[in-house]
Amino acid sequence: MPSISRRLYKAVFFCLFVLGVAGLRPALAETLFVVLSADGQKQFAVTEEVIDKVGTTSFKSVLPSTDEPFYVVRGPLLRDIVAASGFKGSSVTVQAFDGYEMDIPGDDYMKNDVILAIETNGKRLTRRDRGPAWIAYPSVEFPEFQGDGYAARSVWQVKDIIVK
Amino acid sequence: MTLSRWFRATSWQRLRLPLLFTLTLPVLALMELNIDRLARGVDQPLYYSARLDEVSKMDLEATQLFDAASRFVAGDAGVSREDLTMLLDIFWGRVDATKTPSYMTVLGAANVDLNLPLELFQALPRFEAAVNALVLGQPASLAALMALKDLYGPRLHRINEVAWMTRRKVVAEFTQRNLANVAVLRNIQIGFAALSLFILLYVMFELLSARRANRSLNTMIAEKQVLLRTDLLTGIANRSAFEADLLELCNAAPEQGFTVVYLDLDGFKTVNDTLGHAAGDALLRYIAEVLRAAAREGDAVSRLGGDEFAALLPGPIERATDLMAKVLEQIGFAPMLEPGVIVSGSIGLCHSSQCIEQSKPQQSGRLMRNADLALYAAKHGGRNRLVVFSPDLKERHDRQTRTETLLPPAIRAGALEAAFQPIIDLKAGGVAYLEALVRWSPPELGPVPADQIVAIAERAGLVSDLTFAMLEQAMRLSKRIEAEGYATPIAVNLTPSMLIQPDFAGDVIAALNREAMKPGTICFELVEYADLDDRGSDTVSANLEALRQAGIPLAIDDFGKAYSNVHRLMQIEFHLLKLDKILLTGIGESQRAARILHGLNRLMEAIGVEMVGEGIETQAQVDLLRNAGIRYAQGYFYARPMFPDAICAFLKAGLPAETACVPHAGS
Repeated sequence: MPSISRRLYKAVFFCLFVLGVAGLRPALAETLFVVLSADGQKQFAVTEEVIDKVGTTSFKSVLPSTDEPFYVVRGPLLRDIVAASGFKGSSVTVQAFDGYEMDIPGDDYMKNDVILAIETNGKRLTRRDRGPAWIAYPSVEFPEFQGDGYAARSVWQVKDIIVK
Repeated sequence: MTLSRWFRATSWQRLRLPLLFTLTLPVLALMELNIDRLARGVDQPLYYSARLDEVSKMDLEATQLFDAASRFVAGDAGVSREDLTMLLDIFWGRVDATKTPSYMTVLGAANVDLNLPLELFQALPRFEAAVNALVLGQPASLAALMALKDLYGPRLHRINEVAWMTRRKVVAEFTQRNLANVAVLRNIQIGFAALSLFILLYVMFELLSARRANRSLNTMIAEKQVLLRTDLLTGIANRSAFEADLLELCNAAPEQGFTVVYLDLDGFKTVNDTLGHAAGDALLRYIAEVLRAAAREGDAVSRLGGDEFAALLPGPIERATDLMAKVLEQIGFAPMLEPGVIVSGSIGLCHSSQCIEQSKPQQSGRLMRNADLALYAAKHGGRNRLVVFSPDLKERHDRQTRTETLLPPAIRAGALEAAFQPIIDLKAGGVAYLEALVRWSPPELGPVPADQIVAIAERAGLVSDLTFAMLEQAMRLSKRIEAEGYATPIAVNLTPSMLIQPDFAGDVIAALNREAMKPGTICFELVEYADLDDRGSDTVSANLEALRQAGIPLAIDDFGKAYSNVHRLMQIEFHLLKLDKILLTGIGESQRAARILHGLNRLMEAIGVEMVGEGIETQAQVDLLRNAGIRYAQGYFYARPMFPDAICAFLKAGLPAETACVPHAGS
């Protein structure tokens, strides 16, 4: 093939690729994060479809390391996601894209409305906003969730949830 | 306890509790302070440390981005554009977090490049553009990103170092504080331990003193209980103890039963009067000691008051009677008594088997009443004896009470009669004289024995009335039989208490003169009593002398029944000696007795005294008299006591041949 058409092909593909990457996010089938079984063998992808199916909750939350005193967050309940995955366990380990990892005991998310916030103040979270999912506690209604221990569990940029 | 000691004790008690509070409150406050300090110190180090970690991570994430970009442009197939985007997003998120106030606070405290996070945040679009400009395999496309690296890289490293250093300091401080906290905790622990120990000791102290107070209180109560039960003079139990013990015994109802014993001293008043109250008290203590010594395990002896004692003796009645008989003996040997002062006891007993009552209190009351009746019977039966209750005792007691009530008015009203018993002359035959005997048979009581009448009269002080009433009736009969042509003398019974009265002889003589009685028609029979002592001996002698001079014959009655005071007999001039029937019954059959009687008669004859045998009921007794040479006989063998109407008939009718009544021609 002549080098000009090859370059053209590359440029087109590159543009498409960029567009694809830049434009179509978030696509319905795109995975926000993954739920893993304890042995790591099985995984359950959490997509927009899954989130629409389990439904979302919203409340006010004090998010750590943010400019505002609190945010109105919206997202699916953690316990619903765990249930949807079908994996059995009494606690979860949440891993983030930046390598951060924290355990969340079962009591926390079973007894309280802990959500995976995908939206703050009406705006969908991107990775740069420390999304696509951010563990949020109802810490405005229940100020006891404002302590450092809970701040540590409010994992942002959620990558994996391992059910143990 | 003296007043000052009491006061000191009370003050100390009052202070104890406030003192306790004053000491414990500061300790508690101190500990509270420490705990507070501890709690506050825990949170903060964690707070600082976490933020500093993230600042360091920012430098690392920037470096990762630069490295990945380098490899990408160098054509490394392991790095994809997606990887670059991921790294950029992570770095972006990190910078976004780091510029927030909470990080600023931490960084400010660490004295560091505060502007960096904000500058980085504003430069982020340039980073994005630089990453977008990267072309796989084209090192030249790295230029923009490298420019940024040169610009911000060193500052990022610097901030990382500072954060690292600060974190180390914070950790060190944290460790120090932990150690300090441990020390504080240790202090708190010691404080609590000390406090607990102190409180424990205090509580134990309180407990011990309470226990001690309790013990001394119990001792005092026990002593008081004992005192309440004790008779203070003798040291044995008192009345209330006796009654309580009796009720207890009734409730316990031992198998062999038990005996209630009442003991009264006879003649105790005399002891007090003659020897003084000290001797009286000593005597009571002696009696108590005798009782106590005689008592065994399970027995109870007590003093009810005055000269009354009581005892509760478990076991059969025989045991009680044996024991009390021994006690009676010992009473006579009281050491504080002087010769002449005689003390004896009267004892009444009743066994529990003799009273079966429905309720125990009733039984106890009945036992006491019965023992009392038995005691009464003992006293009136002659004292110095014990009497066991029998059911007829109550009747006898009631009868006795009734007699004592009815007799004195009867005496005063002159309602008592006289019966006369003939004394027969065995030698000459016929009636020698008549003895006047008191008779009283009221419808309520029936015939009352003569000795009871006399005893009651004595106690009522009416012996004089009685004697003179008898005298009147004797004189009347004398006149009557004189009219029939008989001159039989009539004898009236006399008690020593009459002789003690100074004007007795005078009154008698006056009465005789009033009726113009001939001398010798009236005579007296005197009974010897043991208690005719030397006290009124002058009066007695004077009376007897007056009677003798008036020509009134005297006979000594009931000779041999009791102990005779021969010395006294020698002082009295008497004409007749009457032998008590006890000398002529039973033992009368023996040879020796007959010889004694014979000798006695010879003795009496020598002083011109004749003898009368009393209670002659059999021919054998008559023979005994005759053999002894005794002249006169009195008894049912010949005649019973008769009323005046019968006497005349008796005198007229005569007697069996030997004893023909010889009428005297009126004189």
